[in-house]
Amino acid sequence: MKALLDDSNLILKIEESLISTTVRRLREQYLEILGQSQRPASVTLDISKADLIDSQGLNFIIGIFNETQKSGISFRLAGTSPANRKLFEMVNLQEHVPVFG
Amino acid sequence: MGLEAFFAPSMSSARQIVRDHQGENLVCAFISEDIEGKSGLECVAWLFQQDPNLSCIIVADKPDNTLLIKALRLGISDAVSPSVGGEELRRVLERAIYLTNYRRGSFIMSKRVRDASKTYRRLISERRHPSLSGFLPGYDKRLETQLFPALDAGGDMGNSFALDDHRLIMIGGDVSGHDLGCGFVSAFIMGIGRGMFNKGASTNEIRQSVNDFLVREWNPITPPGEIIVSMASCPVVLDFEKMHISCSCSGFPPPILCDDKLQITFLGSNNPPLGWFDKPLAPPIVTPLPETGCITMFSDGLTDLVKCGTPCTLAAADAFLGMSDEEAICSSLLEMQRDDIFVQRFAWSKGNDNGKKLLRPIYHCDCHGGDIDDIDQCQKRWHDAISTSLPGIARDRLNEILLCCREALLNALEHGCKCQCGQKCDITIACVGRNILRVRVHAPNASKTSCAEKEPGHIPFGQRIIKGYSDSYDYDLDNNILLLDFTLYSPAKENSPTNIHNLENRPNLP
Repeated sequence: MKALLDDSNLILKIEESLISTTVRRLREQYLEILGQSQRPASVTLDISKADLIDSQGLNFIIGIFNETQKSGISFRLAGTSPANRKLFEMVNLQEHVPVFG
Repeated sequence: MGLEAFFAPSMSSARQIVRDHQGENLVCAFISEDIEGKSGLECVAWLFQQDPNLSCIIVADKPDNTLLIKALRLGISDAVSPSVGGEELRRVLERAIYLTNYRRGSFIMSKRVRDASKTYRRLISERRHPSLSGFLPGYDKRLETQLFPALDAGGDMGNSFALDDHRLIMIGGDVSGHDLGCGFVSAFIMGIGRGMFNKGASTNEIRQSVNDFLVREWNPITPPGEIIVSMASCPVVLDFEKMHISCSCSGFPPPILCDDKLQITFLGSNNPPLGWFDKPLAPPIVTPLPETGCITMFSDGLTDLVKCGTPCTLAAADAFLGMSDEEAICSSLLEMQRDDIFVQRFAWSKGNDNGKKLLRPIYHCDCHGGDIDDIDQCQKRWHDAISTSLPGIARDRLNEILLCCREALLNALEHGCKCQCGQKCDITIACVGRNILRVRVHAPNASKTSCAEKEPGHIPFGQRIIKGYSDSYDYDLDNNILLLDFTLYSPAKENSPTNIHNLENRPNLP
């Protein structure tokens, strides 16, 4: 995962599939990044390079979303491919998480 | 560039150079517009007669169009001015050398393919397949066979024939050794077996006769010090009148029966080959014949390949059956071949539905509880099996299917195997007709915990993914079997050719 702090927007770029075998490590990286940087005003999760997202990948996204909401940080999901958008619609993710193109 | 240049001031000296260096690596020729004794174009034509793969470059100062067109039609690869030099000359030479080497490589390859195709056409003759048109008119059926010998002489054999009493016989066998003796025994037994079946002998009688021949007649005359001949054999009798399958597998990999629910049955176990003992030890296996099913039979040359990295025997069998002769020659699969490979598959389905229900199993594997950490490796094997068997499948659809398999198997490993290495579940994948991919995941010990009983707030994303992407979802709660169908070609987008990612380019389909 690559992190980029732009103004007060923390951009997190996922560079691999969001699947059961990667989410634990990605979550640890996320917590480490958050611990190192100043409290951002917003977090953008860029998933343009996540070819495959499984149920645990979805839980990873929701987990980050819930945590940012509790901390008053705005959250957005960016770089959704048509295939991933289809997945999000199928599982009604957009009802809970703001999904952008 | 490590090149040696030869200069020919006249046509006769050009001939002399080519004669002197015939068989050596002449990689390109620069031919001037006019050469003493002939025109440059005549020289080009002569050079191509000597070596059609040689790159010829015409050298002309301000060449006219007519000359260039004629030269191009002869097959020159480039044209340069006499003052060419430096970087441009280097580029021209590099390209010419690349083209020559490429053409020579292709030439050798095509010759190999041509020669080998002749061999395979002889080996895989149509005579091997019985005419199935009059056999079982009320069924769709498809019979496929491939034999790839590793050496000139070998003992692998296969045959299939329909009998008048609604029986189909499939035989696979492998006589030990790779010499003319084993070839003779193989052919002899094949003929005897066929003849005895036609005369009404039972599988047991035939097996006993073959065993007697080896034990009492052939092996006693084996010269001292020579290894006795044994024969792995596997006759399968499909009786469509009594609706049962009988198989006597002796030392041969057990054939795999798959029914329309993708239930897999291995028609045999580890038994010694014929020729070792007075009495053959393998008891025949008799099992009901499903109305829709498929039997895949293969020799141990194929199972050896699976140890070399192909996803599973069914995947390798399907890959071989789908290969044309030319593809087989160039296939990286055969680079790993160490033994003869014989594959035979018969699929049948009651009714005349234009082959819509005919099965083509492409993957079956047991997964243990501990595999939950290796789920990515499992997924890679499904990916390889599906993309090899369905080379035209769209990437997104493949990912959707893989995702469903992943979710289903993770669920089976977690709830069925409790992530314990000693527990196992299995996954089977098959093509059904030309347009459906069917997946079965079986978790024998899964607990019947409904979603409602899980922790509050649990969102069953896995289930939503599986239901969302599959076109048919059937969960047998009593046996913990999940059966999913995936349509490969969407009827809603019928007019769009880009959406056809089905099995069209497979040559072995009904």
